[in-house]
Amino acid sequence: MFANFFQQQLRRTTRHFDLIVYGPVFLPNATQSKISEINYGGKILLPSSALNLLMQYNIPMPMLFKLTNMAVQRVTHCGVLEFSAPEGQAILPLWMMQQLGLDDGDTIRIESATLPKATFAKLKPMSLEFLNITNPKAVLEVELRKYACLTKNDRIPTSYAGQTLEFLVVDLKPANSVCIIECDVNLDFDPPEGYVEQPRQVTPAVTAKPPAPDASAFIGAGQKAGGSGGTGQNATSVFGGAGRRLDGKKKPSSSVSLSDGTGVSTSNAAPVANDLPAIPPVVVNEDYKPGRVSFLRYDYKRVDVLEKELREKEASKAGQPSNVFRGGNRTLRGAR
Amino acid sequence: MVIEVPQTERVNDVDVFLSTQDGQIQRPKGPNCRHPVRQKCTNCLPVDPFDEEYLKEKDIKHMSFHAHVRKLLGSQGKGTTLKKPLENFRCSLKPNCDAHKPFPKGICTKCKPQVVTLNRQKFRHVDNIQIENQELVNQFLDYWRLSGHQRVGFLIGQYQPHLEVPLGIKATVAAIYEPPQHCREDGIEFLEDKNQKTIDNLLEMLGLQRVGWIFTDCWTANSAEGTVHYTRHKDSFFLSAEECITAAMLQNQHPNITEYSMDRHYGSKFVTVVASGDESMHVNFHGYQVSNQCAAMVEADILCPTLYTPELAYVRETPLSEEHYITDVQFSMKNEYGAEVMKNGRPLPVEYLLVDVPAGMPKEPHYTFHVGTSNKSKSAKFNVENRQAIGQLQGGANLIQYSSEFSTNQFLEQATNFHFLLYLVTNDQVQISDEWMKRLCDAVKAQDRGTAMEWAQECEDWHQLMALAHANGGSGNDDIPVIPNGDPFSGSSSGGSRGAVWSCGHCTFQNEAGRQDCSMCGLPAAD
Repeated sequence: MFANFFQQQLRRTTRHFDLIVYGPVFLPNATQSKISEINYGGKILLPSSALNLLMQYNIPMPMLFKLTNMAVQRVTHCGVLEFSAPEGQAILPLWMMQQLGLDDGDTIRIESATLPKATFAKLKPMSLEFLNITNPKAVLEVELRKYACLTKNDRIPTSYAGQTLEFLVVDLKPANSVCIIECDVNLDFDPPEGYVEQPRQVTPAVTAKPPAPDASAFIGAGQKAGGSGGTGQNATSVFGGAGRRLDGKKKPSSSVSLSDGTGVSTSNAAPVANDLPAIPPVVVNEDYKPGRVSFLRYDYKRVDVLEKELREKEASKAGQPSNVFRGGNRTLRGAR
Repeated sequence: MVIEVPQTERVNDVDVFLSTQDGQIQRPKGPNCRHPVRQKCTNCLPVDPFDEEYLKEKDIKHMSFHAHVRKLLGSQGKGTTLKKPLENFRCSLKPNCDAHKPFPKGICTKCKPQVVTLNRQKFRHVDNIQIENQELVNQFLDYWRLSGHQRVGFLIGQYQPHLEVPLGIKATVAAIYEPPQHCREDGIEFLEDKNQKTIDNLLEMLGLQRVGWIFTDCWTANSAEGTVHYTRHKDSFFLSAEECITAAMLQNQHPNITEYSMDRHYGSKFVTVVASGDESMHVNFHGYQVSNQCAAMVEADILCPTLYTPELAYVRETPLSEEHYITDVQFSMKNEYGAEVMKNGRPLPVEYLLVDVPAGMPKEPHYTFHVGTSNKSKSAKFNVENRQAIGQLQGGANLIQYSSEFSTNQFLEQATNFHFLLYLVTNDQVQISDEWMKRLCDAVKAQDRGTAMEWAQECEDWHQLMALAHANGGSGNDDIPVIPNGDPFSGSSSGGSRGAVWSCGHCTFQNEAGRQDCSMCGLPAAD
C-alpha cells in the first residue's frame, strides 16, 4: 500500500516525496549503538521502497537529500545511512529534527539533491570542552566522516570520549550547503562559545629582555640580602631563625657588598629605587664543581654598575630642593 | 726502538721555532735618518719584541709569551743559570716540607703560599684564535639551532706562529669535537668521556691537539630573524665566574710545556671561545684565557663562583678538609674617590683574571678537514658524535649514505673528515687498530690519494665495518625504533584488525567489518 502511495507521489512530483519522521528511538529493534550512530551523524534512514525508486531515477552518487519542513520552511541536507526504516517513515537524528523544528510524527519533504564539493568550512565549537581535546584534527576527521554534507547554520553534534561536542556551521564555500565526501577542506574555527581570549604572553621582542628579578627572588634561596628593607623582613619572618646544614658546615656567608663603604646604602636603597632592579646579594656557591656552566636568562647588570646607578639616582634626588619647608619667608617686623 | 715522547710532554713545535727567532722588529729608514741605506741609527735600529712603545702603537694589549720570556732573559744578561726565568704560581702548600709536621700541625714560611695580589697578566700564551672556516662553526651551532640547547665542544687544531704580533702564537682550529655532555637551554655540563684516551691518540696521529674549548650562550631574541640577545658586554660580564673556573680547570689539564721554567711547564695555551650575541644581535665569537694566577687558585681549589653575580668570584671561606689551606687573595682597585685601595678577594671581580684573545676567521677559508657543506655536490654529511639527543646517529644508515657519496678513488676525500675518522676509532662495532689508523692518518695528513685507496682496499676491519653497516642499517636507521605512522586517524581505523575490513565496491573505501554499508559513500556493501 505504501509502495503505491510512493509511486503515486513520485509520479506526480518528479523528485520529491513526503514521509513521516520519527526520532531514532522509534526504530524497530533499535540498539543503543545504532541510536547513537544515527544521532551523531548527518545521515538518515529511509524505507527500502525509496531505494527502488531512487534506482529508477538513476540518481548521481553519493545520494544526498534536501529535507524541507514545509510548515516552517526550514531546510537542511543529509545523506542516507540505511534503507531500513519502516515504510512511509524516515528516521532522522535528533539534532536534525530540532534543526527543522519537527516533532515525531510530522511530515517532511525529501528531495534528491546534488551539492558541490566543499572547499572551505568554518565551525564554531559550542562549548569550551573542545579546547581540551589534544588532537582535534584526528577527532574531527573521524567524526565528520559520519556526515555526508553540511549546511550553513546547522548545529551538528559529535561524540568524543562519551561527551557530546556541538559545532555550529558558521560558513561554507563554495555554497551554503556542501558535500564533504572525498574532498579537501580548509577547516577554520571561530572561538568557542563562552571563550574569553586570554591576553597572550607575547614572546620578548627583539630588544626586550626580561628584567632582573626583584630582591625576593634572591632571598628565596635561603639567603637574605643583608637587612634588605621592610618587605624582605616580612617575607622571611615566617621562617625566622638561622639555617643549619646537615654536614655541619657553616652556612654560606651572608652577603657582602663589593665596596664596603657603600654597603649600607646599597642594601637600604633596594626598596627605595623601585624602577631599578634589586642588587643581587653575593652568595658563595662553595659546592661548585668545575665543568658545569649555567647562563643567565635575564637582563643582567653587574653589581658595581648597579651601585653606581643607584648612587647617581640618590644624588639627583638629594639635589632637588626639599619641599618640607615650602613658602615664602616673612619678617615679624613688617616691611620697612 | 725509539719510544716517542707523547705530545702532551713535548715542547710544542711552535715554541721550538719561536725560541730560535730573534724577534727583533726591523724598522725602515725614517725621515730623521741622515745616513746611507745600509747603515742604522737610533731612529731605525731594530727594537725588541717587547718594546712597549711599539706595542702601544700597534694596539697590542698583551705582549706574546715569547716576548715576555725575552724580556725576562734580556734584562738578566746571558748567564747560564738565568735560562729558566719563569716560576709557576703556587696557591697551595708545598708538600713534604721536612722542617715540621704536615700542615694542620705545623707550617713555615717556606711551604706557605704567598698572599696573592692579583695583577692583570701582561702577556698572553696565545695571541690569536683562527677558526679555519665558517662551516666548521656552523655545524657546531646547528645543534643549538635544531634543539635550542647550548653546546660545548673542544677546539681541535694546532698552534702556529702569528706574524702580526712579534713572536706571537695563534691557535688554528680545524675541527670541533663534541664530548659527551648534558646540555640544557641555559647551561651545559661536561660528562665523563670514556673515549678521551682514544681521541687524544687519534689527534696525535693527525698531528693535532686540543687547543681550547668552545661553548654557546645563545639566547634567542627573535626566532624569525635568527637574532640572539646581547648579554655579554661591559655592563654585565664577559666570562662568568663559573666559566672562568671551568676554563682554569681545563687550562690546568693542558699545561704549556716549556724549557724556560724549572718545572718544565708554565701556564697553558688552552683557550676559551664563547659563541654569544654581539651588539648587532648576531652570533659572534670571543676568545679568552684565564690568567696563570686564576689557574693556580683553581688548582688549589680556593676559588668559588657566586650564585647571583656571575662577574664576581669568591675566595673559599671554609677549608674542604683539615689539610686544605686557603691563602689570602687581594686585589687593588680604584674606589669611588679615585684612590687605589687594596681589597680582599671576597668577593673578587673575575675581570682581574681574564686575558682576552681575539678570535676570528681568515679571509681565505682553509680546510684541513672537509665539512659537510664545503663540498656543494655532496649532500650527505657525516653526523657529529654524541648527538643522539637530536636524533643524529653515527654509523649505520648514515655511514652508508655518506660512503655512497664517494667513489673508491675518492676515499681520500671521504676520510678527510674529522668526525668520520673519530667514528672509525670510537664505534662500538669494529674499532680499527692503531696501526691501520696511523696509515690512514698519514695519508690524510699528506693528502696522498694512492695510499688512501690502498688503505681502503686492504684494511679488513674497514670492510667488516661497512658490511656490518649494510647488514643492519641498510633498511633504515637501525638504532631508532620505527615510529608507526603518526596520523592517529589512519592508525585507529586500520590498526590491529586489518583482516576484518572490507572495501566498498563503489568508492573503494576501507570499512570496518561490522558495517553493512560504506561509511564514506553510504552505499550498501556489495557482495
